[in-house]
Amino acid sequence: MIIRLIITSLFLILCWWLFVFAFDLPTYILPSPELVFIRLINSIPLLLDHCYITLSEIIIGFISGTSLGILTACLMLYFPFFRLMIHPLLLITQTIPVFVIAPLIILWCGYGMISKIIMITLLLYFKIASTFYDGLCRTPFQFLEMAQLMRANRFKTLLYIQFPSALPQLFSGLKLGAVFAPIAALVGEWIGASRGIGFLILDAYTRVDMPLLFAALFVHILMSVAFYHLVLLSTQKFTPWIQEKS
Amino acid sequence: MNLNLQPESWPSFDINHNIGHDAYQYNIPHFSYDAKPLLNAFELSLPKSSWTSILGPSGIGKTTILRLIAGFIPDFQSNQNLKIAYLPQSELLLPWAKAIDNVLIGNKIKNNQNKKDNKDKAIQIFEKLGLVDYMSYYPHQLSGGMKQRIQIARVLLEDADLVLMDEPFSQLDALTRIEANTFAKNCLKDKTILLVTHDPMEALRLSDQILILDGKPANIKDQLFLTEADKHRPELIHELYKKLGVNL
Repeated sequence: MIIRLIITSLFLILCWWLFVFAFDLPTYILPSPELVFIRLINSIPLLLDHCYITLSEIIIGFISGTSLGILTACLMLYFPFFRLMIHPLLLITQTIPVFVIAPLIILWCGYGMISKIIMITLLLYFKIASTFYDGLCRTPFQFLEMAQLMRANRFKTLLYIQFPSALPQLFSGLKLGAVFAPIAALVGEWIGASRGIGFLILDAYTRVDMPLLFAALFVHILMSVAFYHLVLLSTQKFTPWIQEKS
Repeated sequence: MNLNLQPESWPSFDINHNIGHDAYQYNIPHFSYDAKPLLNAFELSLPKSSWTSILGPSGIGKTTILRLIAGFIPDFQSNQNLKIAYLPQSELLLPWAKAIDNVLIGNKIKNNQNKKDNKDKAIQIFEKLGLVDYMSYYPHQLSGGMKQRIQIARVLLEDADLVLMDEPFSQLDALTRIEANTFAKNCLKDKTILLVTHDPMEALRLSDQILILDGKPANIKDQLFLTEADKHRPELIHELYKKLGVNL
């Protein structure tokens, strides 16, 4: 897969280079790949500094969104009143893109990391809560009956039967979240931030520093792909029976 | 030769007397499904350490009897202190757990403190059943016959008093099925088994007692007590099919 990715990337870079060369485009419209590469190498400390901020936002938001989502799904399963109250809210929030409320979050929580973490948390929370709850509900009834015969209490049934049974749905939600979390961080930083890759991209754009813009974009892509693969690896680690089946 | 056919004796029901063993007694209640009467009330006696099979047409209520005994039907919770294991038609191995963990799940749920002891016991059972090479396999990596063996290993570790089997071999091919029958019979020979099956030959191979369910609402129409010698008598096969309303 890595070899295929390298070949495709090299091909695209070649096309990009040929395009710039053929049309003799100025740097402020489209810089050539070698200019971007040089800028990337020269700006490594700067890029890493901003990358660290964005990656921290993504990881903290991802963990908090996932934890809250799992907790909510479990509470929904065991407390019907809570489920009745929160289920409509989950359905409604699925239809509202988190980016729509991003300006409000930045207004309330400021330009720092907290506002981006809250955005990512919200983005994941509703997805994880609804997919994981769905997974918990879909536990095959035969397994629940088996637990009943083994005289499992509700907690043991959740821990040993329902939770692992819902892991495939949880990881589907996480994979989706891993795609959207970096985008949410980027958008949040565009709307209001003083640090982060999104901020750096916007800053480079306003200063017409296109090589830096492309270098930051490249770092963001690299970071997003790496993060997605980390989640994918976790999926393979924690749900080996699904991976091997497929 | 000790074939004990009791065509019209049911439901006077004196199995203890006939078999000469202790038995688990169940009063199956009158049961309706969607306002349609499915089962008549009758008494069911399962002699301990023996195999009882229930034969009868599809949809007559065989599985319902098992589910009533297991306490799966909410309005008919059976108030019992027996340890019951249930082997349904579909596989009951947890797909996320390796074979050894599938066998140990009951111990985990019951929070048995001595984990090492439990694991050692499970390994002993795997060794005894010739499954030791498959302990780290996930269910999807095992064949149908092997999955059945793992389920039987679980029953053995749980040391259930009563094992309810709802056509557990029906999804196996003919040869594997016979193998699985023999395997189950050997491994569970000390257990009390209630087996639901469509297959008269399977019932003959495995059972010490066969109950034939018939009618609407269903009741025990007939019962047969079998010895090992009976199972090799060709006329018994004819007799059984005749009782099931099939002329060979």
